[in-house]
Amino acid sequence: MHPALRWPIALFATGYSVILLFSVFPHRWPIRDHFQKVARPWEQLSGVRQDWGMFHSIPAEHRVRFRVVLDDGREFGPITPGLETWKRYRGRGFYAVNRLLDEREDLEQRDAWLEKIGAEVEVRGGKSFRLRIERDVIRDLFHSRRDQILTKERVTELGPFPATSS
Amino acid sequence: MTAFRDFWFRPEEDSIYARLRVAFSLVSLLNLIALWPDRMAFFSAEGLFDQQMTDQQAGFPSFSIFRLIQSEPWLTLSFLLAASAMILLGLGIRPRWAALIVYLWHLSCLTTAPYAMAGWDLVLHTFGFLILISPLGRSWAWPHLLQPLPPKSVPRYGLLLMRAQVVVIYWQAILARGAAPYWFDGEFFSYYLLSHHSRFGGTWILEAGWLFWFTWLALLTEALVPILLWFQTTRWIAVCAGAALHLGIALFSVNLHIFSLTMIMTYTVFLRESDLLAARDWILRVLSRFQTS
Repeated sequence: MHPALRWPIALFATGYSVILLFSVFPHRWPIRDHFQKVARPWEQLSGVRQDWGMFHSIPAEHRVRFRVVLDDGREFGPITPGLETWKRYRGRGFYAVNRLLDEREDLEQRDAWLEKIGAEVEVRGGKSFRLRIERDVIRDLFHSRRDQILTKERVTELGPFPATSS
Repeated sequence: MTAFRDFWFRPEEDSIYARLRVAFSLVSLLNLIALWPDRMAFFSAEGLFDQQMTDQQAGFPSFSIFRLIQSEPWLTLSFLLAASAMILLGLGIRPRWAALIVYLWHLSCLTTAPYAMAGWDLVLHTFGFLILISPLGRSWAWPHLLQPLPPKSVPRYGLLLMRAQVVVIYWQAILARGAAPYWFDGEFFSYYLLSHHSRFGGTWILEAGWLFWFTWLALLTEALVPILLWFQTTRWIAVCAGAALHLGIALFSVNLHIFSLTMIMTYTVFLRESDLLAARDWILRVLSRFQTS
């Protein structure tokens, strides 16, 4: 290694360790939030975010089905392109659709996606569609232990949305 | 001041970097293969995400190769190029260039489809970055794949950062759970087994009181493994405990295999040549005891 590189590398390594030190604290902790403002440009530029909240909440659903239901009753999956169904063993499709449907997340991104579904529905000869979400929600274990019923079905329908290409 | 600088440049075994490079390439390749069927859904213009909107929301210039190529043939080509770079990185052929391509590919995935990316994608991306700026390991590289090279020392800064990164991943995950009751009353694992991730759901979970121990054992393992990995005397205990935890997650889940492999891959940054030799000697001793009895 060229000796001239030693100082820049040492300074970078020190800076990165400081980021790591503060990143032990999760988001929403005051100490982390203050520091986050300083580290944000670096995180956005490099894509190296310190965001490790794996399994921080309990899974809410035992089974989920997302369906695009056309005005004539035909059904398709929600994954564009092709209106494919989500496969359970391909977990990312679930994360993606679930987050698109989460109203707290990003309504603009959801609307753009619904427009793409609308275009695909139009190609298939539909005039409008609804998005049907069937969730088997896991019940509180305290209640499940008393009546042996594990889940409660919750059906949500969004729409109707027009089948139009944008 | 020189002492401060030299702290990062104390010598460490070159072969540690080499083993990490190989392990990282293999896991990244498996992850790419898992992403392959969804490449159009996540990265094409007709897919689930609107790239322009993603860029606006990021509010900062970010790089993504998928901004330039969104049709199927080009997307397929970019996946093949990234796969080739992962293989070259694993083989140690033009490793710095290969590491750069792998880093940019992971960055593109996270930038274009943030909603579809999971925790292990971020672990791979973070390690991809740290590998890019670290020594890449001359051993275990073409054309010396099977012929061991004489031991060589290289600066340790990359390994120190990666080891600290492992601590942060585990400890932040524990702290993020805070005082969540289902973790501390031991119910998390029961809920997890009832979820859509699980391979073995059913009413048997309601009667299985021993599942509490799994939740607490997982918490304890996650808290202790990142510390025990730093010390030679406890390193193998930590590797075995961590591997057991992650292989357990892979066994009980239908879709988290790559997460498990990714986390096990991170342990390679702690394993020195002496640890591997000690493990080999221990295995040989156990085998010889079996043969004599």
